[in-house]
Amino acid sequence: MTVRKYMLFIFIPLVLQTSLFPHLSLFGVIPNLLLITTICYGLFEGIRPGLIFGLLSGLCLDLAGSGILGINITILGLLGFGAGYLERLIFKGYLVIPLCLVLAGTIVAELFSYSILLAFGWRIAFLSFFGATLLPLCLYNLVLTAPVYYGLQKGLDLIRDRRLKAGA
Amino acid sequence: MLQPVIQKRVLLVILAVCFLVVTGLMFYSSQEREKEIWLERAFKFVLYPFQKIIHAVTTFVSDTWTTINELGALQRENDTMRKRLSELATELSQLEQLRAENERLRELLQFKTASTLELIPVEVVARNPRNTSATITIDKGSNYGLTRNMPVITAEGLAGRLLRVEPFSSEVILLTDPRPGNSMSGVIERTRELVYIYGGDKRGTCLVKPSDLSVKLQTGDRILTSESSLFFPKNLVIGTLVEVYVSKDGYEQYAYLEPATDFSRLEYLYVVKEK
Repeated sequence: MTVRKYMLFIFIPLVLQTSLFPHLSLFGVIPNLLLITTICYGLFEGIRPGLIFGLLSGLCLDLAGSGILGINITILGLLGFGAGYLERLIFKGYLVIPLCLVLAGTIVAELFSYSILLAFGWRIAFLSFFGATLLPLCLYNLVLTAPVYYGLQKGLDLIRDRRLKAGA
Repeated sequence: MLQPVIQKRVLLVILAVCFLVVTGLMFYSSQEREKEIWLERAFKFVLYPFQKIIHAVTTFVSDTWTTINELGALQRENDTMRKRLSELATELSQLEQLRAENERLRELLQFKTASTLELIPVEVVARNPRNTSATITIDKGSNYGLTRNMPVITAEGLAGRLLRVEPFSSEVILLTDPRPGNSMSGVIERTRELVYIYGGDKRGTCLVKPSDLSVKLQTGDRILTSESSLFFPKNLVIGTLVEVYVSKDGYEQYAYLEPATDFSRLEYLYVVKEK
């Protein structure tokens, strides 16, 4: 069940991110649905599931996009772990918590990715990256946080109910 | 007593091994690779049908929406087109006669056919999920005879080349992708002087550097593919120079090129195959 749950919550956002959202790009930028899902999942499920989910979604993102392998595994693993760590410390009822975490996560992930790419000789001017990629991406990810957060919450509740019914 | 210390050391060793593995993986994958690792290929193979379904649904919905919105305008356009069609039919019959005459004369002069290029139409199915990369997935692969590094064009000009070819799909690296190795030579249409074009730097543009100090770049210059290009046929439009920078001493010069192809609206492309 857990494996199926991971596959469902990773595969669907990945397919949407690569084939639907290019049609709905904002200033030429597509949102990072897997980053949002990882953070929300960590917030709901805790450290261990958050870390595993982050590592798996990072691996899938790395495998789906041709480029340097390992960037997304590292950053999404860390973000899943961080969100999971906060699960016990904060009250999750307010939407503002995932919003703040997604904003911070997007900035950290993009800056980490940018510095690794730069170190390997990719040609990306910082001002262009900041204005044309990072800012619109932050905005787009923030807009999508609420639907992803509530959708994931509903999905996880459904799975929990089904498991309880099966147990009873 | 010693258990927490040992656990801590084991954890540190695991972290160090993970760090080394990930760094090694990054080094291995940082350069353009001829072939992907088996896991990448298998994953993309599984992902592709789902991407194609979502793409088909999205295209159908957006096409239907556009058609409904433009129904009135289409009616008017249809009337105009009908008139134009009858005019063009007359012109076409005249051109057919001229073509037949041209062919007869070519045969007499023993000219070779001008073009030896074959265009294979392809459709964009997915885009790279990373915003820093500019690669797209198309719906044809080695089953259509496509091979690595084949040029990819649109009606406007050059779009890129095939980075990887799978049996039923391929990945195209666009001109603007910023990875090292995504570069090519070109010529200025005005002077036929050689320039070097590198993908990236500023998002959506390419960086252009002159081949030597005597070459002068100007805003508005059109850049074409050069004869010395490894993968591309000559004289294809690459784009136009939009910003030119020259250092005070004049020894350093570079420009930004706006590609002729609009990469944000790519739907249909052509892969160029030698006949």
